Amino acid sequence: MKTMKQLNLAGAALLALALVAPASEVAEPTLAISAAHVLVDGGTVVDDALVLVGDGKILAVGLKEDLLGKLPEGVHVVEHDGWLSSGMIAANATFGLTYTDDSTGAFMDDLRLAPAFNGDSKKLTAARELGITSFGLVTGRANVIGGIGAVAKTDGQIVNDAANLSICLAPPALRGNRFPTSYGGALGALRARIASGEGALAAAAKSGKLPVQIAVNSRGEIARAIDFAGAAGLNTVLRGATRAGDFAADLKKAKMMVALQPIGLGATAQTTGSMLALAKAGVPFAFGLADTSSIASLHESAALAKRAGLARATAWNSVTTTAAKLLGTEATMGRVAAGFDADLVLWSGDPLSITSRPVAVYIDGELSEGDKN
Amino acid sequence: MLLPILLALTPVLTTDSAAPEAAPVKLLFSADAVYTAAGDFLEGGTIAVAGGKIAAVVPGGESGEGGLHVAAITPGFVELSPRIHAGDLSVEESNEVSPGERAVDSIDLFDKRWQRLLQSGVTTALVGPANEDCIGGLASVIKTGGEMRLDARLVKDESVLMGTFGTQASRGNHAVYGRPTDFFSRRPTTRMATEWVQRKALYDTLAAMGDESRQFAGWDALASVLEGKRPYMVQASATQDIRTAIYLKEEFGLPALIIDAAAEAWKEPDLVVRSGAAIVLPPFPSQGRTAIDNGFLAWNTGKQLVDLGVPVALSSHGAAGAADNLGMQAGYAMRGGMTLDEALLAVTLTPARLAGVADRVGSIEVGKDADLVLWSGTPFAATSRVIGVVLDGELVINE
Repeated sequence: MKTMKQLNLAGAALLALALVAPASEVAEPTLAISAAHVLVDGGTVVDDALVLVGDGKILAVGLKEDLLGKLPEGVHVVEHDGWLSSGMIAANATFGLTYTDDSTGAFMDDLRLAPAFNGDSKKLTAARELGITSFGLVTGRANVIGGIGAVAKTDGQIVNDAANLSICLAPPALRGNRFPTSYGGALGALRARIASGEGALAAAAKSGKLPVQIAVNSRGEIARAIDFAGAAGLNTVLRGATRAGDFAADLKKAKMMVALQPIGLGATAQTTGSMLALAKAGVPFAFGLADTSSIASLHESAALAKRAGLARATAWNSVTTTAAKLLGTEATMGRVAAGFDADLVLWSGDPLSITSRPVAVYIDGELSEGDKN
Repeated sequence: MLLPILLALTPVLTTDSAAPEAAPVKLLFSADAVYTAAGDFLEGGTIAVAGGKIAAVVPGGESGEGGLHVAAITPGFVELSPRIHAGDLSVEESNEVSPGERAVDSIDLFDKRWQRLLQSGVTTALVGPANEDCIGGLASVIKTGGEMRLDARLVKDESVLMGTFGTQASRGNHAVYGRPTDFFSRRPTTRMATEWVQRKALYDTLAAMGDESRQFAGWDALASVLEGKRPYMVQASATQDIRTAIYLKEEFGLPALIIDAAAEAWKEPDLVVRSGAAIVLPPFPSQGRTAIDNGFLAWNTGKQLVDLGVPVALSSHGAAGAADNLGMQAGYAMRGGMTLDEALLAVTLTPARLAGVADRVGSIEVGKDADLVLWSGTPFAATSRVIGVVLDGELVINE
């Protein structure tokens, strides 16, 4: 951990800009939160800092002593004698979906998940209370192509209703009473769909932009997915892929990313070693919740990843900035910095400690849960 | 002895520096006996390897100076029926006729059985689907060791189309009483319906070849076997299934038929000869009958067919144990009367030819892949064992 005083200057400069710029371009600040420690991102901490929020965005981050006296009239000030961080981001989840897979076929790339999303789901409340502010909405694993997913926030809003595509190349997608029941059948059909130029998968292959989350388990499946997705030119996120570390060099070369399943206290050395290998090779990885029932495991994964030997910065980024990168939202989510969404969590202690809990969660600058100060 | 060989080779290998094969001699393997499977037997021979290929095969080299010296060297084995696959995930069970299915799409190179197969001396294998469909799909030839990447392992992609006769293809299917309950409510449930499905698929293919509107998924793979562009390899163990396969070959004029697990081919030798089909024998059973359709495999089956000029390959069905690996199958075939040379061909050059990869593997010849089996004594003898395996010039097994 390093405390960066240099950042204060940049923050102050931005604040000054915010205060003099025309109102039409920069929002008026409405909320100021001060904290003893602001975790800007995994590698950057600013002590005794103040975060200025307006119109759902972070307007500036700077030293409390520099900014507190210069706030305009009417700004609500929250003082937190603890840690402040960005809200956590799950690389995938099925929150708000009653049914996660349509059982009428194995290739559902014309289905959209967003219209089925229930923003009032209790799981969203639970996730919010645990410090998760956004996630990639994906399908389950029962279909080869599950559907077009979204990026959503845990306050119930859909941020992007066509943000990803779910694919499964693991046994759950091959056990239906329909085609396909084999890896070869699934891959053959996927290639044919890409060759036809029609459908969301073909579009994703053509643009190479839409994140495609490919669920896989064993090393054979990981190798198969890398070969397929590489040849197709997909913007690939391997989902699950516990042994992905064995392919770290291949993944790095192919610019692929990994959405790991959460790690628990019982994670084997093989599982944590795979994660460390990804980090060493510089393969972006985050944690997803789509294949677990434990919502708390996202925060636990960050803490336990650090415990397993991952650098503190990488561990925190795996539930914030890197997760945002996997979702394609890294420009607006995952950092406490000017211009980013004001998705913020006030913690009872160090966010990377398993003993810490969120005491207040803001989404787009709105207090969602916890202590209303 | 080895040094002069090295010197003699060096100019040859380095004069044309632009040629990709101009790699320096990397390794020398010598043996008291080198069995090349290419018509040569060298009593005392040395194999020079460069760039993963065999650069030279020369007499001499008993001293072992500067290289590895063993009792005997044979080519790496070629296994046409390894049956190492992802089980029912390797075969498209939603349709009995899945000719376009690529078996290598389901391969798992991390499956430990590949390593065991390599340890037993098999360096090249045909990867097919599980025999659960009448027409299961396209099989490809791979190396059993080396990089954990399919593209690095592939020797020949989609080299053979695979199918199944007998009872295995109908297993799991059930009769339709009223509404079908699942996709297993279908033909075949008997071997006679298996024959019907095979014949219909071939007729449908003939129709598709002349009429675009009659094309179906994978028809072109079936068309390729009708046109002789690749062999059709079918599992048929019982006599009646072998007959069925041969009758279909003759009815449709299939140019190349390979009958796999053909335990009872000895009962119809004239028919086999007449058809020109090649035979792959299953592993010799320890309890009298083979695992597939209770075939009865006589010890002298291989010898009898070889004497009639039938191309015969032996297989282990992936068994890598000391008693039933491919090398032992060759030994068992010798108990049935095959000579060592005949048994050697049946696990090397003959299967390589059948799979269309004899230009790369199957014998010890200059320019071919340096895939070698190193023996402690005479190959295939019960008192000998495989002590080393060389794959693409690398000593990958060293015991």
